[in-house]
Amino acid sequence: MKTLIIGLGNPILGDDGVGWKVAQQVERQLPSPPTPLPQGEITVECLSLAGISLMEHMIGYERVILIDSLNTGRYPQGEVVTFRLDALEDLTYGHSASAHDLSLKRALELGRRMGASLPQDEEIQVVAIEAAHVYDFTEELTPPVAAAVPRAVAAVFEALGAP
Amino acid sequence: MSMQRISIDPITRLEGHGKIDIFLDENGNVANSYFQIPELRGFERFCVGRPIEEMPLLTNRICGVCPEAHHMAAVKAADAVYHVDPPPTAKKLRELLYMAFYATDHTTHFYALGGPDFIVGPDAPVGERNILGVIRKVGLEIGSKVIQMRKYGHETVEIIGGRKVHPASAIPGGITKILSEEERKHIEEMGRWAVEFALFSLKAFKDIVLANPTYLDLIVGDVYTHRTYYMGLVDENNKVNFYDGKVRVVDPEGKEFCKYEPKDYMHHIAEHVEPWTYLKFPYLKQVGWKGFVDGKESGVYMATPLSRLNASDGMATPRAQEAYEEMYATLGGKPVHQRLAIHWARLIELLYAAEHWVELATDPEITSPNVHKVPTETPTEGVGIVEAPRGTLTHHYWTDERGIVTKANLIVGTTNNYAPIQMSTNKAARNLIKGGKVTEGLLNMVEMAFRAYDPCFGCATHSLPGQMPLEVTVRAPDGEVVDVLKQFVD
Repeated sequence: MKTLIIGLGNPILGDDGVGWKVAQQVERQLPSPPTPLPQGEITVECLSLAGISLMEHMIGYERVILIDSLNTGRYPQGEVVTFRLDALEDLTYGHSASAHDLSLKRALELGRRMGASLPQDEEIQVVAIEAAHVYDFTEELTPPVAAAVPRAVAAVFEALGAP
Repeated sequence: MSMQRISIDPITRLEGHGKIDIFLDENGNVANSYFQIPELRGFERFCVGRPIEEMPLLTNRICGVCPEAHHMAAVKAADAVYHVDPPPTAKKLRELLYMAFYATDHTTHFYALGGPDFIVGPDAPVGERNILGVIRKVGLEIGSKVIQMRKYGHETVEIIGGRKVHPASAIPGGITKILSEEERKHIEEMGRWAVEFALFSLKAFKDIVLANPTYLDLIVGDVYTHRTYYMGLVDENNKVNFYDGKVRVVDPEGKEFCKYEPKDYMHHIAEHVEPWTYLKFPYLKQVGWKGFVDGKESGVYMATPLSRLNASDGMATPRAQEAYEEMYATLGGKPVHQRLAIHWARLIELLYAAEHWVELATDPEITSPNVHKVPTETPTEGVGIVEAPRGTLTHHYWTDERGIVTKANLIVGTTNNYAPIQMSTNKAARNLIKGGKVTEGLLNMVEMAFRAYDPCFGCATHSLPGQMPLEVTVRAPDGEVVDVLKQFVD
């Protein structure tokens, strides 16, 4: 299965950079993974994109794992949560929740309507790390979020190995 | 009950999380409204101590929406810091990249965000009012063209910038990329396609929007009109320029108020502070801050596609010039004050960007290997200004003699428009919400007031859930929730 792992976020905006850090560690561990990997090519990318641009990056892949910070306030800082993208509420539906872009779900719908080869909903998984400090310009993660990186890396490998 | 509060909380983390609070009086009419956005903290401190060469790479991480604009403003400031004038080919390559970016950005805004209000309708069901609704109404072809336009834009940015979206090739004194003839030819072909796409988009706007009296009334109506000053970069002939030139400001009657070199911006722009928001409101220093009011005595100015057209004497390419003349003839001459005409102006700029893309791609100098001049002077201080799609973008850096940044100041595109956006949303809310009647359709009409500005509050965070719901909470004075409206459906 052709798989894309995407670290999402802004590497200079504090805990928002956690997605990149996790993705970079996953890439380093790929040659000797902690758990057996499935067959097929695996690509790792770090991106600061959303919506349509993010969808465009997924074209041609059968499976995608997104790694991102989660800013809900519903979990303790550093909690690692794994879920399918389609389990995430699409809060922008139908209005200008973003002044510039569609939600990823809407963008995927658009891409599929245009005939783009995109992974099925059940093949798009999210590994998210709860974080609050995403408004300060710094390259450092806060201690609870930094401590979550190994757990998030493990969660990515677990998601990779899952059938 | 003497006062109710309505809170529109619509804007994603992509631009920073903003919200509109609307306060109702005892009759259920709008007493006032406040458009609030959070401040991203510490960017200046983050820059200090780093080499100036790093700024074009670093600042394009400020914003996930217009990194190319930050890349260009920062590198132009770095040229100025080093007192170096890049060779003509380097400037043209930077500008060529920038035209492809503009075409991509304006396309996305029109079709995915602004356009649905007009093409599908401002009071259409919420689930229809998006690009998918546009496709259902106009046909699948329009969706394919939008995706194709974006693809060509990204490809051109990648060829010249070395990376998609976050370009890396512009350096003080020039650019690291020499364009091969094969690449040039490919970029030219993509540019020619973009010209056709822009013409198609303008025709769609005319057929669907201008031919519909309801939409035309909406555009020319008073609800979305403000008479302010207008700002934009112009070339030596006072034609619109996105990459270079002087900043020109015209008054509400369209007369030139001032025209200045980027380095002099501090003599012309000052910032007003309000207690209810962290973000400052820039205004024209020589007019002064008179509050959130229209007119010649008020220092409020706008910097948008429409402002750039208002502040110029025309477009530098032939077909865009025709479209420019047509818009002013239709809307009653210059300047145009109707904010929803920003959408029309955006499409005229799309055409200019595409035409200029082809001009640059066919310039005999564009494949010259002379793309860099090594800086030799001691670095000091410099300002770089470009037009970001959503407004004039200013970068200003001070360095020590080694080129290490000691101080930085940025005025991002949307910040220029903070006062006009506040005025527009306030006016729309006052006109549309009466007697406590708040419907989803009315709220969308209020959102349309700020959507026209294509606002961006400078942050590329993508923390999930990534988007906030549009939630309207009507509260009694004691804080008790009287009513809640939510716009998300899924």
